[in-house]
Amino acid sequence: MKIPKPDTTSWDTIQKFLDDNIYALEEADNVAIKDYIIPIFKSEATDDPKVMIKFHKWLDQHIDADLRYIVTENIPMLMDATLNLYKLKVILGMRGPATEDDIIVFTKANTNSTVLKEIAKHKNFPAKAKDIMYETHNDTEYLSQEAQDIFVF
Amino acid sequence: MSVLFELPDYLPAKKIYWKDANYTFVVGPNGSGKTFLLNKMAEWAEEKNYSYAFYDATTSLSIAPLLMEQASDEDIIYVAKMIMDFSMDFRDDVFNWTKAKNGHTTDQIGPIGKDAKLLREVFSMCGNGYTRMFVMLYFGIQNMGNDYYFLDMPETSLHKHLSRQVINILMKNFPYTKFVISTRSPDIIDIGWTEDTVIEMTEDYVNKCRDFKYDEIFS
Repeated sequence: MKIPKPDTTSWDTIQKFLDDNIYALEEADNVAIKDYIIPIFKSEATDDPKVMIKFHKWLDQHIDADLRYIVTENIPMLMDATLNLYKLKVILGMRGPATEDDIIVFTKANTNSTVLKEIAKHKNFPAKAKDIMYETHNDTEYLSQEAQDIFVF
Repeated sequence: MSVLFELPDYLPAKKIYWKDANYTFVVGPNGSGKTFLLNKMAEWAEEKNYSYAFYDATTSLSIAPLLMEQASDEDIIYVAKMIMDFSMDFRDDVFNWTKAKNGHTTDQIGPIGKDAKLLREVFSMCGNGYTRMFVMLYFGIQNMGNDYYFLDMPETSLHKHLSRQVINILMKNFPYTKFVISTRSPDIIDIGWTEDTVIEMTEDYVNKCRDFKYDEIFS
C-alpha cells in the first residue's frame, strides 16, 4: 500500500494527517508504522519541542505507539536529516535539559549503548561526544568528514 | 551536573550537594526541610531557564475542581488512561462506579475509558486519592516535555498499591522529564531503581547524594 506523504507545515497539518490515517496507523505493524512516523520526526516542524511533545502525546494517546522505540529502530533513516539537540535527546532517551554538555556527559556514561553507537555517527552529533566515541571504539566513522578523508588519504 | 544548596541554620542539614539524576528522592522526617529544598531547586531551575512544573499535594485538592473544569475531554481521557494502564483497582472502580450510576450494559472497559463525560463524573465524585492523582498527571500533561517535574509528597491520600505505581506512571508517561520527589513513603521509592539519587535531610553538614540505602532511610 502506498503511504501518503504527510504535510508537515505545522502541528495542525500533522495532526490532520495522523487523524486521517488513524485506522491505518492502528493496524500498521512495527515495520509499516515507520513510514508514517519517521517523515514527521525528520520534519522541521518537530524541531520545535512543543510540536514534538504534541506528536508524542498523540501517538501515545491514540494508538499506544512509543515514538522513541519507532525512531531508534530506524536510525539509518535519520542519517540524512538535520537533528537538533532536542531530537537527539528524544533519540537517546535523555531526561531533563539537553545542552551539548549534557549530551557529552551522557555519552561518557553510555559509550556502549547500541542506540548511541549508531546515532553518534550523525553529522549533527556534538563533536566532543563523537571524539569520546572514537576514543572508545576506535571507529573512524565517529570522526568529522574532514578527518575521515585524511584517514582515507 | 552537581549543585550545592545552602540551607538555613534551623534545618538539620546545612548544605545539600545535589547530584542531578533522572529521579531524585528527597526524604527525611517532618520539619527537616524537604519542601524548602524542593522550592530552592525550583528557583535554581528558574534561574537556569530550565522548564519545570511543581506539584504540591497540600494545594492539589483545592485547585482540583478548577482544573477539572478547564481540562479538555481529551485530557480527561488521557489522564484516565495513564492511571488505568497501571492500576487495575482504578479500572475496576471506574467500571463499577459507572455501572452502578448509569447502568452500563457493556462488559468492556474500553468504551468507558473513552467516555469523557463519564470519566469527568468519576474524577469529580471520587475520593481524594484519585483527585490528587488527576491533578498530578494533569499538571504533568500540561507541562509534558519540561526539563524537571518537582513533586511534593505525591503519595498523599494514595492507597499503598497506587503509591507504588506513581513512579512507574510518571516514568512511562513523561519520558523527557527529570523528577525530583519529596516523600515520606517507602512505597514511592522502589528498591530496584538504578537511575536515582536520594537526598536524606538529616545529616549535620554536607549531605552528599548517595546510593539508595533503603533500610537506613526508613528504619
